Amino acid sequence: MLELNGIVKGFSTNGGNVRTVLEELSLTVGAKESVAIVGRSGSGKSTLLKIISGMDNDFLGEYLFNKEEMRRKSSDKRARFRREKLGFITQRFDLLDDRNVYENIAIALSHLGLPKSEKKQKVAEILGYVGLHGYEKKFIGQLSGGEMQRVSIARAIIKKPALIIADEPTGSLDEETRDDILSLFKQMMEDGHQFIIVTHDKDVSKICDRILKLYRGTLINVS
Amino acid sequence: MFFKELWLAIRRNFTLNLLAACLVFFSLILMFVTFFYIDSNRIGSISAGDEVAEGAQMALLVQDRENSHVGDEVEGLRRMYELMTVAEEFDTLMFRSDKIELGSSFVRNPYLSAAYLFGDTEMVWELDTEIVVRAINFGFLEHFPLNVSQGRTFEERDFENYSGYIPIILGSQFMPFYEIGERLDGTFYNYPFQFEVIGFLEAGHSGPDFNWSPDDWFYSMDEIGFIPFINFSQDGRGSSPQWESFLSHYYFHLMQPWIRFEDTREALDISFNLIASLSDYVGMPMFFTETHPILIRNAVTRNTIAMNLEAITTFMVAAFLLISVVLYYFSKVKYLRKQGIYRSLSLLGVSKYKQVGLILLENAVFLVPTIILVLYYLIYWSNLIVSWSAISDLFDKWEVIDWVLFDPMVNMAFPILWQLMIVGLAFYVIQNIYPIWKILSVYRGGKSDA
Ligand SMILES: Nc1ncnc2c1ncn2[C@@H]1O[C@H](COP(=O)(O)OP(=O)(O)OP(=O)(O)O)[C@@H](O)[C@H]1O
Ligand SMILES: [Mg+2]
Repeated sequence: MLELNGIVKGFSTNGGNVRTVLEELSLTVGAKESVAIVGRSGSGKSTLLKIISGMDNDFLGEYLFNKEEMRRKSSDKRARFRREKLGFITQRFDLLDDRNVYENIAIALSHLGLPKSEKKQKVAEILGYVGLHGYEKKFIGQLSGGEMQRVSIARAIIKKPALIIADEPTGSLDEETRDDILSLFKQMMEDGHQFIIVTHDKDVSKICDRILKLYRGTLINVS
Repeated sequence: MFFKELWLAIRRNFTLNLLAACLVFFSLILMFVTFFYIDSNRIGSISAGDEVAEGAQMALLVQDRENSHVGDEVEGLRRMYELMTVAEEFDTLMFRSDKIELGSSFVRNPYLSAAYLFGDTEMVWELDTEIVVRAINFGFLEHFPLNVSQGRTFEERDFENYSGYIPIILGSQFMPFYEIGERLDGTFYNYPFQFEVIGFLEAGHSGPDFNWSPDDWFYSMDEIGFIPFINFSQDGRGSSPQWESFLSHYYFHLMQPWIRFEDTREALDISFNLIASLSDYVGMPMFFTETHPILIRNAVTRNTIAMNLEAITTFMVAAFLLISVVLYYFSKVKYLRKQGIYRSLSLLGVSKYKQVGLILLENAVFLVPTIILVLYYLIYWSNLIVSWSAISDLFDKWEVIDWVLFDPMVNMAFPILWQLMIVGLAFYVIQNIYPIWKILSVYRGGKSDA
């Protein structure tokens, strides 16, 4: 259960003015419900996801996750929320360039205190799901854009988080790979994981329960 | 890659970087200037003192006048002097602090003189008619050379015969007021002499005082003069009561030399036995007061540092400034490099304490060299105090328990250790300020770059 009420978020411009990106935005997503968010480039979709992730705490309004006020939480508590409840697939992937694929994915499991063999097995399994079987030892710099995107997806879903937020998760993928990923997402939705997906792709938005459009700082229903 | 990031870091805040550039420039100049200041002739004269202290012992000789049974005391002292000078077992360093009286004329001296401040060097007279001088022998000169900036230093012949005047080398403070070749009329032990100015010492030149406590062994020679200990035996001037009285004073005062011999038990025994038999032979009893090389070595080291402390401190401050600025940029580049990683880790839910902790751990590497340096100095200082058994010998002999140990250790070693500690810590802190501050702002969710 996620609830955003009257969210206002702006950025100061070079001229010293404040440009408002999100204006009185409200959103309620029920438990187990998945939504797709569409909107023009620069409309504030990524900004919204950053707020939901707790990475950005510099906004006005109210953000409740499972009835808990997120904005008042300490940065440590918000980090813990991301660690335990959230998988975040960002637009820029945000992979650790100085580590290999295995380390990038396994880091999402570090708080669980699993034995190494189990970690290895889990990473191998998830890599198989995203079509990167045997990529463990490769470094991020050696991957293509689509491969990086899939590593990012694998890292977000490996710990099976309650909420997965994805910013253009299929932007760099070909149709076939995209369909594999989508069926993976669908399976997870059926297993009770909640998704908030920002996308331009109609096929992606189709798998969600609701499609919302971010327009002039607020969300409007399109389906 | 590094330079690209450095350029990025520099481009961000022009004013700050201009300021940093000025600081770098300023500290470089400061370092340059102080480096040459430290490396001046001060070090030169100190190292001469070092040479004396290194591997050598010194002892002070004093005549036992009470038990003297020599008929002609002056003759006895003079013969003793001549015998000691030719002895090869030890060096005889004669050094006597005294005054020459200029009688009716005043010493031309810049001190306390308002006229000098206003540039009128001709009109400067201070109400002082004495020049403090050190009378030395050739043996002294060999170990503690006098560096002159003008004129000449003493030569062997200056000590051997009297040619109607006593040559004098004046400290640098006298330079504006006297000329090379100028003759001064004055008295020395109440006997009238002419003194000829033959040279001026370099400014800042310092020499040993052979003070009883080597604590303040070195002093500035800027305000004093040097005269040679001339052996007047070759002088054919007839005897008068005034002259006899002069010679008696002269030889009595000057025959209290320091002798310098190798720092071994044998050398000490040989030297002292030789002096004992010489004084027996002459009929002039002498007694020795042995000193210990540790005392001298400590004094020399202490003085080396004390005299250059000002310059060294300035140098250190300048170096520290420079290092701070460099480290600031280093830390900026470091952040730029790792920016993505810090952000990604935050995204994955790694807490800020963990990230900051990781950075601190990573940079603990910078503390290691500091600790090594500190240890190095500790070892260095404990080596200076050569052996602990020698120290305990000294305790019994000199009752200097709180002198030998605490003075060098507390006064010098510890401040240096502290300085190193502080500089090391500052390295550590400055290095991390920027990245940590940025990471905290990532977690604050403010205006982070993403
Ligand atoms: N840190 C920031 N500082 C200043 N302006 C920002 C910042 N982040 C985003 N913006 C501005 O906010 C607006 C919304 O950005 P956002 O990234 O949310 O857009 P988006 O909807 O995700 O676009 P896209 O579909 O292209 O990814 C943009 O105009 C952007 O320039
Ligand atoms: Mg975006």
